[in-house]
This record gives sequence, C-alpha cells and structure tokens, in this order.
Amino acid sequence: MSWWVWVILVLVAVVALATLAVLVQRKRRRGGVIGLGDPGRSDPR
Amino acid sequence: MLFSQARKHEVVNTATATKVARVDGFVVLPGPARVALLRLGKVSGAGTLLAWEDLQGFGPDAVTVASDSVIRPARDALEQRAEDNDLEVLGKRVLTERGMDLGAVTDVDFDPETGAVTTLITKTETIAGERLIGLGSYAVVVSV
Amino acid sequence: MTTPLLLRARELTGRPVVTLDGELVAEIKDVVFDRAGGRIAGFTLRNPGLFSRSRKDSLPWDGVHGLGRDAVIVPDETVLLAAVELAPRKEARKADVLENRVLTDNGRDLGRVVDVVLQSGASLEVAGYEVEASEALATAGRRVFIPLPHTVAVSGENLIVPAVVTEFVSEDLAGFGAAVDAFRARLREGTG
Repeated sequence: MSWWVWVILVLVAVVALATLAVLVQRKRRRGGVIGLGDPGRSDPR
Repeated sequence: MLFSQARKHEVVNTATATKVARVDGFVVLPGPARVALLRLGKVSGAGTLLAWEDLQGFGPDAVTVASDSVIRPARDALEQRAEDNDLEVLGKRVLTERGMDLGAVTDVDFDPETGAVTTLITKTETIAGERLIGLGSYAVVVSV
Repeated sequence: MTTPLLLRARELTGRPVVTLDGELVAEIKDVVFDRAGGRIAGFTLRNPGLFSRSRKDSLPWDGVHGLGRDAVIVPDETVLLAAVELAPRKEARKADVLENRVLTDNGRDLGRVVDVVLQSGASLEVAGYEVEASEALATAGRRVFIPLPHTVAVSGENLIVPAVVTEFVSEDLAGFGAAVDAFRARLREGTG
C-alpha cells in the first residue's frame, strides 16, 4: 500500500476516537434522576 | 468612598514624607463586613499587606502610615489567600443564600474612617454591607 | 412563606454547590428521590469542570441551606456524606427513571419520561413527569406534564400511574401546579 493510504487510516482512527470520547463524556455528564427505596404502592385503595 | 476611587492611592510614610507603596486591592472580610487589609504594590520589602488597624489615615488622596514596618507579609492561611488575590471581591459573582445569582461585584462603597463596607454594587443591584455572609474564592454569599 | 416553585430535575445537573463561605465544593450530578414519599433525598456529586469525575460523597437534602436558579448553597463541606449512604452505585444505575415508560394501571402506555418535575417549598417533592407523549394521548409526539400521586409504583422500566391521570395532563409548566393539586384532590376523594 502506498503511504497516503496509511495517512488516511490514521486520520480516520483519530476522528473515530475523538467522536467516541465526546460521546462517552456527554453520556457521563448527563445527570439522572434516581428513585430509591421501597417502590411505593400505587394509589392506596 | 468607592474602591474604584481609592485604588491606586499612594501609601505615604508621614515620618519620612516618602511614598512607600501603592494600593492595589482591598481584602474584605465578613462579620461585620469590613476592609480588613489593603493589598499593596510597588513595595520595597517582601510583604504586600497592610492591616486596616495599622493605618494612620485613609484620606481622599492618599493613605498614610507612621512607619514602613507596618507593611508585612501574610501571617496566616487566610492572609496568604488574600495576598495571592484569591479573595478579591471585585469581579466576583454574588449569590444569595437561596442560590440566586445577583451578578458580579463592580464596586464597593466603604467608610474611610472605620473601614466598614457599606454597600456592594453589581450591575443591577446595590447590596447593603450587613448582608454579607461569606466571601470565598468562588463567590460572595449574601443573605436575602 | 415562599410560594411553591416548579423546576425540572435535569436543570439541577451541573448546578454549583457553594458553601456559605463562598467556596465551590462540587457540582450536582444526579437527583436522588425517595420513591415511597416522593421527596428528594439528596444529590450525587461530581467535581466541577469539563472532564469532571464523579465523587464518592453526596449531598443529603438535610444538608441543603438554599436551592435556587443559579446555585445550591450548603453551610459547609461537613454536610457531604459518602455517596453509598445515599445511592449505592449499583442500585443507582438501575433506578434512573429517565427513559422509563409511563403506564396507567389499566395498561395504557402514555409515553417516555424525559424529565422529572420538582416542586420546591419547605421540602423538594416530585410533582410529576415530563413525558414525550405516546399515541394514547391527544398530544402524541409532544412533551406534556403528567402529575404524580404521592406514591407510585416504579420498576426498572415502568412507572405505574392511575388511569385517571390522563384527565390532568398539562402542556405547559405554568398550568401544571394547579393540575397536580386537582389530581391529588381527586385521588383523595376516591380513597376517602
């Protein structure tokens, strides 16, 4: 393979890693709402 | 007097009639809100702090001291933070104790006789000095 | 007496936790509520900054001095607890209600939870859910607010609400406070 094929492969790998890092970071930064304890009964009848 | 008017005042030694430093900043402490120290620039020695009680006078044109020796380095952790400019009040965000942002401090009004802070000024608010609860590296916290 | 205020739980994420001395101690990460009482138990925390790490300690509701639009104020750092005391990590991961389906007790799927609406007064309570409405509601595809009874059954994937809730769906947060009160009044009548 000629040298420019390797250059393109490396560039693609870098872009993929960067995208992955951004996605992971966004997921990590998104807060959640956590419900803990005994699941309460639905409306008491 | 406002901080904006009092900054860059010269510090004059009345015994030798010479300029010994220049006022660069003010260290405000709560309970009650007051100017506790001045932060100085253009000093000849190692220290850059001048305690309010060591002043001879805070006049409209200059700050006077009786001797150069009152200009000193930090003595404790709080003063060290003041000297490192960590506690600078100007430009710091004001938060109420209920978590509302009132904007950044643009100026401070104080009594040059006593050093008491009378008003904190932001772009939209004027806040009485007695409302000051705490002043840290992140925010100025005031009561509601 | 402060007027009750409605806010979305996810708005709280990233809000700074500041001591009365004006020091930044952390940022809010997750909102933790107690399912049985519908009350906010506290918050998990992360360090401030872009590549912030989750913290092991957490902020119980008792430790909150003031909660506003721009910050959460605490008396000092000593109010922070080890996070496991508030939300054990393994349990917390399974108990996130975002993305849950809302099902009525007669089996209709009302939509997917996109946020939780909190009502602040003396304490902070869960008032209802912001839901991306399913075909079961007239407003399919849009975001609507569904009030919550004081207690509700929650599993890993579903929230069960009484079927009567569909009468109290509101399209804007402003009208939602009244809808919550009306809905809860109806439930009390039904049980009394």
